[in-house]
Order: sequence, then C-alpha cells, then structure tokens
Amino acid sequence: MRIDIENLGKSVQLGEETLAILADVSFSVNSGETVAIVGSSGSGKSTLLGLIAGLDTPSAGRVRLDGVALSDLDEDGRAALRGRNMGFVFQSFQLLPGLTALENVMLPLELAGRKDAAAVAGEHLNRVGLSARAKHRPNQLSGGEQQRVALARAFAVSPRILLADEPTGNLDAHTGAQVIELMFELNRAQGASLIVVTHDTALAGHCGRQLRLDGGRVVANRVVANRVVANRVVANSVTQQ
Amino acid sequence: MISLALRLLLREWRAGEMRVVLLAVALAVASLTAVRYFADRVEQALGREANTLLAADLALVSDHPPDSAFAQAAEARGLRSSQTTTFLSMVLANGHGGDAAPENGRNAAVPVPSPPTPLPLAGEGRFERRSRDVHVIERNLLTGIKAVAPGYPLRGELRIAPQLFVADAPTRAVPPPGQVWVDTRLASGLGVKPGDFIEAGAARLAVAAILTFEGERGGNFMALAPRLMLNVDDLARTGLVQEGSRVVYRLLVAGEAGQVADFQTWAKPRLARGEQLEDVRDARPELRQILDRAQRYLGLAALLTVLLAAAATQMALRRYVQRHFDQFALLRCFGASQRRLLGLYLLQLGGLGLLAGALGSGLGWLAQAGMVHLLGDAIRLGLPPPSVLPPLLGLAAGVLLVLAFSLPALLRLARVPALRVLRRDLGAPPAGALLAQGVGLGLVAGLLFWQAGEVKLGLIVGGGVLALMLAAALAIQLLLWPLPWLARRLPTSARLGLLNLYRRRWETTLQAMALSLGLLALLLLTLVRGDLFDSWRNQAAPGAPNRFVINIQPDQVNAVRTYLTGQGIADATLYPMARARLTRIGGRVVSADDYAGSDQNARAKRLIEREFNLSSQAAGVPLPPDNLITAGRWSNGHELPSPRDVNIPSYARSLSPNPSPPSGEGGFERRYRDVQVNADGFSVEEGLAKTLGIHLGDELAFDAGGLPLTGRVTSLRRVEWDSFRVNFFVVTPPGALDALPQSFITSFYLPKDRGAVLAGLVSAFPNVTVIDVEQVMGELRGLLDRVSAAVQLIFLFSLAVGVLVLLAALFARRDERAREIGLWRTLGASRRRVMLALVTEFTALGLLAGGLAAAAASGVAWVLAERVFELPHAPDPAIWLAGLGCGWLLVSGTGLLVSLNFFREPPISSLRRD
Repeated sequence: MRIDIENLGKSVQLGEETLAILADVSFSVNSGETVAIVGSSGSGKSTLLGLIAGLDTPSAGRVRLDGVALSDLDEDGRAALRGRNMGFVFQSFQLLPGLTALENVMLPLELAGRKDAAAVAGEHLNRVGLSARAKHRPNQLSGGEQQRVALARAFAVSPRILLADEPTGNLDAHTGAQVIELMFELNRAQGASLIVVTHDTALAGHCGRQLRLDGGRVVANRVVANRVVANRVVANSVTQQ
Repeated sequence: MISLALRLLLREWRAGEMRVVLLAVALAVASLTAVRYFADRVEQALGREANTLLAADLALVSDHPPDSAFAQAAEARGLRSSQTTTFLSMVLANGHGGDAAPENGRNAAVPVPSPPTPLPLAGEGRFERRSRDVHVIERNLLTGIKAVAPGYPLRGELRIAPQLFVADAPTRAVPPPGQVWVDTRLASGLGVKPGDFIEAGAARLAVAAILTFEGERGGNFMALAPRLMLNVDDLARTGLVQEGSRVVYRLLVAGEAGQVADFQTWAKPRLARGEQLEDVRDARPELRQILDRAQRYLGLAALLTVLLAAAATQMALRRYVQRHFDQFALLRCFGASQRRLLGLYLLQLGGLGLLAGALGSGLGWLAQAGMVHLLGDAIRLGLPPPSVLPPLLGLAAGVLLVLAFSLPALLRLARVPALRVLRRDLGAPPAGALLAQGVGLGLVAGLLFWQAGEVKLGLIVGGGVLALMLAAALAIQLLLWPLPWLARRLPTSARLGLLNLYRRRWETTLQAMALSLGLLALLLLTLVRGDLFDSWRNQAAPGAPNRFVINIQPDQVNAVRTYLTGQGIADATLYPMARARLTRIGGRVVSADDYAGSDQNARAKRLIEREFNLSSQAAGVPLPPDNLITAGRWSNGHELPSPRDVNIPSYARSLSPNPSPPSGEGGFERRYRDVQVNADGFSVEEGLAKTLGIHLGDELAFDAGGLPLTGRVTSLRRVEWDSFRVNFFVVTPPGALDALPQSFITSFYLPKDRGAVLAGLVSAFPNVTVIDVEQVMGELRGLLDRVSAAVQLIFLFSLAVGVLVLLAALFARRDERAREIGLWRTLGASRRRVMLALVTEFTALGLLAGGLAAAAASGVAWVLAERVFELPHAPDPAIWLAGLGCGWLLVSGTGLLVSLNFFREPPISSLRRD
C-alpha cells in the first residue's frame, strides 16, 4: 500500500500559545518499503505515526493511502480503513490486561468478524513462539513476551501497512534484537509496508530508508541501499522538506 | 505532615474517586444519624409519655380486687400506690335532685370484656382502654366510669375547668365524695354543666368540674369515650359493682426505678388468675407499634446505606490504590519511609472521613428535623431536643467507614516496591490484604450491629448479604459459563460484548456483585416499604368498617338486617357469637398451669384462663375475604380466597367483640342444660393454634356457660385482624352454636354525616351497642401518612447511595475501559460497533446483576417481613421485572454515560492514557 504524506502539520493550543508539533511534512512510502522515522524526543515522531494511522487528525495537509485521503473519511471510515489494512506495535505493548495472550491476538480478528479468530490467533502465537503461553495474561508475561504477543496481534490480520512506535523502547538490548528480527521476518513474509518510529539505531538500520525529524520537520530522508531488508524495496528518493 | 496531607488531599480531590468516597460516606452517615436522632427523640418522648399514660410506673391490672398483699408489698418497698376501678355503665342526666332508683336494669354495669385478646404484636391492657371508647348513639350515654382515690395519678396530672370551654388548670386533687368530674363529651352529650346532677347507678352525684385532660387515657390521641370520674368512696353507693360485674381494677405504683423493678420481680410469680402487670412498654401500643415498625424500617434503610457506602467506598478506594502505585513508589524512591507514607495517607483519609462525617451529621440533622416536621402534630408527643450523641457518632462513623476500607488498601500500597519506578510491572503483593480486609469488614459489621440496635435485624441483613454475596459469586460464574456458546451465535458486536464479560470472569463477578448489592438494597427497601405501606393502608383504609354493632339478639337478626339494607348498608354480615372456655385439646384437659415459663406460654396461659368468642358460619356463606385457610379445608368447602396483605392497629383486635352472654334471663340455663353439641369442622386461627398447641384433627372441647361443645379441627386460618372487620379465633360449622346462648355482631362503613342511621338503629333496638371507631381511624390515617413521608425521606438517602455504588462499580474499570475502547478503534472498530458491543455488555451485566438482586431481594424481603417486621409478605413477581428492568436501565445508562467521553476523544488519547 502506498502512503503519501502531503504538507502535513499538527499544532495544539496551549493557553494562548499555539505549539506546532509537526510542520510541512511531506514524503511517500511505496508498497512493501520499510521506513524508520528517527529523531530526538519531542521531534514529533509519534505524532506523525498517529496521523499516518488516522488515530489523530492533522491541523494541515493530508495523508493518502493508495490515493484515498484520510481527512476525507470520518472517524468510522478511518477505523474501517485501519481494520482492513493496518497492524500496530506499541512501545507500551497496549495489551488488554483482562485478556489472555490468545484473546489479545484474537481481538482484531473478532473486530473484523472473523469466525476463525481463535485458530488464526493460535497460529500467529505459534509463529512468535508463544503457543505455550496462550492462556497467560499480560501481567504473567515478560516485556519481550508481551511485545511478541503484540507482534502476533499486529500480523494476525495480514496488514498491508505495519506501524510500530518504539517497539523496542521498553526492552533490553538482547530482547529488543530478538523482537526486531521477528518483526522484520514476519513483515518479509507478508510483504507489508513498515513504518517504525524509533530511537534504536540498530532497528533503524534494518530499514530501507531513514527519515529524520527535528522540531517537527523532516531534516533528512536517506535511503540505506545496502541494507535492504524488505523483499520489494523501491528506494527512490521523494520530496524532501 | 498534616499540612502536607491536606495539600495532597486537595490535589486528590480533582481525581473523581475521592468525591465518590466523600459522597457515599456522607450519605451513609446522614442516614445513620437521621435515624438515630429520630429514634432517640421519639424513644425519649414515648418513654416520658408512657409513664403519664399509665399514671404510674407499673400497674397491676385485674378483673377482681387485687389482694391487699400487693399494696402492702409496694408500700414496704417505699413505693407510692393508688387504686382505680373502671367499668362501663349508662349515665343519665338528672338535674332535679333526689336519689333515683335504677330503671329496668339499664344502670347495671355493662360487662366489660375479660382482659385483652392476646395479640402477637402488642402489649396487654389495651382492651380496657379501648373498651372505654364505646358509646351509644343516644341521649343517655354509655360511659367509662373511673373511681379514683386521693393521690391519683401517681404520674402525670389531671386538668379540670370550672365550666365547659373555659381555661383549664392542673390539679393534684380528685373529685371529693358526692361530686364527679365529667369530660367535655359527657357534659355535651348529656347536656349537663357543673352544678347539675347526674345519675350513675343508684347514686345521684353533683357535677363539680369539667375534666379536660386525663393522661391515662392517652388524652391526645384516642380519647373517644365519655368519661365520668368519681371518688372511690362513692363507688359502693352507685351499686354498680356487684358480684359478676365486669370491672377492671388497677393497683398503681410509682417510685424509684430500682424499687419498681424489685416490686415487679416480687409480684410476677404471685399473680393470680385474671391478674397481670402492665408497664410503660405496654402503654400506647397502637402508636408504639407504628413507630416501632417505622423505626425498624428506617434502621434497615440506614443499615443498607452503610453497607452500600462500604461497598462504594471500597470500590472507589480500590481504584485509588491502583492509581497510587506509581506515586507511592516514587515517594519511597525519594526517601520517604513506609511508616511516614502510611501516616501521610492515613491522615489524608482520616481527614476525608471526618469531613464526610461532619457533612453527613449536618445532613442527618436536617433530615430528622424534616421528619419531625413531617410528623407534625400527628404524634403530639412534644419531642425533646435531640441529644449530642448522634452527631458524635456520625463523626466516628465517617472516620470508621473510610478507615475500615482504606486500611487494607493502604497496607497494600505500603508494600509497593520502590523499584516500581524502574520496573512498572512490579505491583503490590495481595497477600496480607485479606487479613486487613477482615479487619475492615469487622469494623463495618460492628457499625451494622450498632445501627441495627437489635441483633436479629443485624444478623439477618449482615449474614444475609454475606451469604448472598457468596451465592452470587457462584451463580455469576455459572451464568457466565454458556456465554461463549451464546456469543458464537450472535453478530460480531454483540459477540465482542459478551466475550468481554466472559473473558474477565472474576472482574465481571466482582462488578456484578457490587451492582447487584446496590440493586438489592434498592429493591429490598422498595419491597419492604411496599409491605409496610400496604399494611398501613389496609389498617386505616378509607371505606374500612368504622362502626361495630354488638349485642344483636337472635330474634333481632332479620329486623336489623332489613333495617341496614333499607339504609343502603348491604354489606353488613351478621355473625353469631357465643362465649366459651376451652377445656380440652385432643382429649387432654387443659389448664393454665400447663403453660408456664416463656412469653409464649404466658400468652397461652391467659388464653386458657379466659372465655373467648366462637362464631359459626351460615351454610353456604364463603370464608370472609380477610381469612385465609393455611391448612386443612374449610368445612363449607368453598373456594379459598387468595392471600391479601393484611394489617393492623393492634388495638383494633381488641375490638373483636366480646359481648355479654344473655344473662339474668330466667330459664336460659334450664333450656340448654341437657344439650350436648358435637360438631366437627372447627376452624382455628393459626396464631391461637400455635400458641396453644392445637393441630389439625385435634378434638376441641369448650364449655359455654356450662354447656359442652366439642368438635374436630378441620382447618387453620390466617386472619387479618386489623382489617377492622369482625373476626374470630374459632369458627364452628353452620348450626353448631344454635343450641348455645348467642348474640350477633356486625361491622360496616358509614360516612360521618349519616349518624341518623345509627340513631334510628339504637332507637329501634335499644339493647344493641354501637361502637364508633371513625375518629380513631382518622387519627391513625393521619399518623400513617406522616410516618410514611418520614420513611420516604430516608429511602431517598439509600437510593442516592445505591446509585453511587452503581457508579463506583462502573467507574472502577473506567481507565481500562478507555484503553479498551481506544484499542478497539485503533484496530478498526467503528463507533457503532463499539457502542453495540458496550450495549450488549452492559445489558448482559445489568440483567445478570438485576436478576441476582431480584432473587436475593425476594428472599430477604420475605425473611425480614416475617421475622423482623412481622408483616404478611406476598411474593410479588413484579420484583423480577423491576430487578431486571432497573438492572438493565441503570447499568446500561450509567455505563454508557461513563464511556461516552471515550468516543469523543481521538483514539490516540485513550492509548496514551496512563
């Protein structure tokens, strides 16, 4: 799925002051491409990811997914688009504490009305090596295991885009590395576009392109040609700033 | 540390749960203190007035002159004593002077019925008071005559006036010999004034003053019968008290409480047949019973409010603790010791409890003032000002409620490791919290018992709720079991909602328990209140019979019936009646000595000692509507009426007629001497059967003025004594009483403005006596309306706390719910789908909690009605409808309301929620 970001901006009102979190961001991501969004804290990375996912609405500009502008859709339209096309991995895992690992993975499948939710979820848990922990609740799992459950959940719906927000941010280096391997492996198998927000240079290095944000603006958009990890990388440069 | 604690408390205020705790505890305290204030004041007033009503601290009531040993014993103990003699008789105006002979026996003492019909709910001695309320609608008045000795009354006072309708004054004197005091009604009825003469029996006495107030008669409530008070020295001169006359003698004593108690202990085992002791508890039974029940209901409401507040507090504090894990860890990380932190939080919460206690006490004071205002003049007790105890107890209860439930939470918080600042997955160990929870529950249980005042109510409610909670936990688990199966067959959204419940089985269980507790309290209070109000409504329903006619002779039955029908009173059934003493039960000769010891036996003893009324049904006449066969079969074989709620001013039962048997008519005994009646098919009132140990199939033998009557018991009946209709302990089959001396009785409703009907009746049948209870019922109705209003007021408090519990239960999962909705929407669920899932979940939860609450409420209401309020309780299927409906509406309504915010904010905000 192709993603086009056009002059995207996001600002919030703090009292009488308007704070620009993102300003005039434009770039495109081709189908199957892997992109790392890097930058210091407060540079607007997570906000950008939220806008791409349609979880928040921009103050300016637009996001197009295969030519469809998210801003032309209402909240439910955006939700439906997400449900059909996107998978998510979060820094804080975002597993529901009341549900078991299996039930957490089943959730997006159930939302999609899939009758085979349990079977598909079980298969994906197996892929991330956690079939033995299927009945455990998040608080009974380690951070790495929780993130693997989150990965299983993200890939269970066979997304065309995978959005990951600091997926290794809460993990130690070793576990983080394992999670990265797993995520790219699964992504390779599914051929999804991957956009990952990270501080982790190792993780960024796995991506075909790195986009650097500073003060809410894109300051670098660099193709890492020799570290192609996606199976269908199209590393063409796009509009910068 | 205190200022820091206060600062923290103020900051905490912004987070919702502190407000929930404050509100819940304040309302609970308000309810507690209002009831306590009210009970306190009414109890004080009743106690104070009761002595006045009795005119003594203790009275020995007897149907014969009591043994002088009692008076001597009282004197020996330093008690003051005095005697009164009361009876009913005709009094005539005689302004011309000169002694008058009694004419045609009209001045003979009208027999006063034997001591009161024993009632399960009220004390003794009513009958004598009530029987004085009898008067005949005629110029000659049937009057309650009381002979008193100097010194009377020992407690309270008399007030007299020199003329009708002029200012009165208290007096310590009694009428001097040769003179009498008459009350306003007698003076008006006879057309006499001070200076005139009246005739009482053979004596012609001068009216010396108008008696305006006589405490012993309950001067302000049920004084219906005219009163004549004379000096005891004139009694013999009237010639009215003769062998066989029905007279009530009272030996009144008063003194120090210890001396009175000592005399009571001494006298009790020495009481002869026909003698009984009456103390202040027995005074004003009709008023006491209504207020007792109202107080019990208010107590129940307050008790449930405490329970609800405890539940709300605990739920709010649970959320509070979860939110404070990080804060506690951080403060520990900054170097605060566990002890200091505990102190800090205890101070915060103690302060909150104190604030809630003060707020609640203030509210409680206002509420009780409201209740007293609502009661207005109805109880006319001159309520004393409230004592300072309730507000102090209110403050203590506020602190106790908050601390009882925050303690376990705090102990859990204290064990949060400081390492949590680095590793957020580290929580607080739950171990040890159980013990602390036990302490909390213990404290609240103590509060419950204190509130309940009586162990029985506390045990029923406390134990009942605990047992129900355990049963509910099990039932919820069982009910959740088939949810996945059901979910698979439903559309996606509904499936999500149901699965959400199922997957959080334990949380759902806790939440459903809390919700059902809230609903249970609401249903229970509604149900019991319904029973109470129904009983009160029945008790003095407009249109209930307000006139009794007794002493109708068999040969007058048709004529009286024709007269009444001619006057448009078609529903007056005339019942035959014969007086008899029970002599054998199932072949066993019964005597009062067989029953000794317990209260129940004391009652049985009195029943055996006295004659009571038998009636028989006319052939083909169905069972009266206020009777219900509970065992066996009605001998007429008619269909049984359905049960109806009943009730009762206790004194009304004493109106159950006890007319005199035809006496002094020559030949009567000869005519019946050789008759032996045997008639199977006796129907016995179940309370009497229980007391005397009578069972279905037992053969009963009665002695009706020397004539034997035997028969087998074929049915037991429950009787609505307080329906104001004519009812009997024992009903015999048709014709069984025909061979015995009998008279007839009837009751009917007659509007106030149709007094002419009664005048006509008495004029046509001079021997009949009309008893008028209209005024009594009017006063009663007024009182009940006001007590009902007071009950409603407290009910509102409980209602508010019940809703708070529902809110707290739904708020408890608010954060998780927000994240869940955020995630659902992130993963592609439309608002509609999320909404439908929530509606399904809340509907299922509401129905689950509502169903459980309805089941529990039906059971507990039944136990409470039977055991505590002693009210008849008819199972009401509508409670299921109400439970399920309220459960669904309240849970869905508040649940969606709580969740609506999460729809408005973008999903990313929900995901970022901490």
